[in-house]
Amino acid sequence: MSYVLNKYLDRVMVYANCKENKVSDIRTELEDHLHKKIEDLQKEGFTKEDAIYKAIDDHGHPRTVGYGLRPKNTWLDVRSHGTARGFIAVGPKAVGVVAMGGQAYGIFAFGGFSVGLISFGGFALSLLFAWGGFAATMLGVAYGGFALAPIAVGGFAAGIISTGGVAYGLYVPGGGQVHSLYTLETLPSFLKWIWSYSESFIMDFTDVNQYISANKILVFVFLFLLFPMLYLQKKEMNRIQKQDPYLAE
Amino acid sequence: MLKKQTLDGNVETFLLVILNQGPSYGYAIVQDLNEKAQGLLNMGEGTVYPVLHRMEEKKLIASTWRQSDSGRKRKYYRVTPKGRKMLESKEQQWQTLSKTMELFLGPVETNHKPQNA
Repeated sequence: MSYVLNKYLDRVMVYANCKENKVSDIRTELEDHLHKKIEDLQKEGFTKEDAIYKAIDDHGHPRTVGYGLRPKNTWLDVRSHGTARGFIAVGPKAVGVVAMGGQAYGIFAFGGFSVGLISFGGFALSLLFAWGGFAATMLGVAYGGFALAPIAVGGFAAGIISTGGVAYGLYVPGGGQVHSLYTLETLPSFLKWIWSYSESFIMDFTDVNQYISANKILVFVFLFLLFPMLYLQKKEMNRIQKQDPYLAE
Repeated sequence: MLKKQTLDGNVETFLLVILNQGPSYGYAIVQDLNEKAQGLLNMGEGTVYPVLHRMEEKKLIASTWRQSDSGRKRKYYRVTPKGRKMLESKEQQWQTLSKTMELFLGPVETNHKPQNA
């Protein structure tokens, strides 16, 4: 078989990353397709070399074909390009229960831009808990340089209850420059209820309290998950590099 | 040219239509697909295989290996009863949808004519 054709199929299989018992069948099938195409192109008048290149070109980028052939809905999907999808997904874009990447969408999402139930990242949007440069949460707590949430804690914090360098809120228990509508004594009952539940989060952030809080636990979980995921990403790059250094460049 | 998202949801149906005419293999399926689509589909030939494999996992199609004339091993696909049922359901859905769309948007033009002709 032609070297170019062989290399192309090698690359498809690198990205497909299938179980060994499937590799041979898939490769044989693609090989048959390409050979038949080359034969037909030669009948049309193409030289063998031109026919090989056209057949490969028409077949598609090895990454597109290879990723398409990857098993779907796996426990773990790690990709160097494109969108990873799995229970645990790691890639430039990641969608999963636990997702990590430049853009991450999941229950636990870690990334430059992360959206999830619990999100960590440069720009973190979440339903319950967000932690990051810009952190916004719909129902829970946001910690960050710029925090927007019912309970917001950060350099600039805005929320129902907020604290931070510059804090705006219905109730602001502390901070540098505070803009608070109520004091503790004048708090309406529903805010008192929120405050009683949020106090530990806020106290923890301002380093007044030393017991384990949800914040500490969640940050620990984040760090605990971050390192294995970085390891998985590195392992995937090593695997690709080992099989074809050109693909890792 | 169709948008990718529009296409993605329908490739399985296109393949079921082709395979419903009889067992076929990857390359021939792609040729039939391109012939039927008259240049409206823009997808790499290799991207048909992930769809075929997915359909096989869903048991819409089944496959067997045979020897080709050239002596190479070749994988032939055929529609399963489950696939045929799905195709019938898709055809019914399409009949209803196309009738409804025609009522609102008018009949489909088969030839595009220049507006100022």
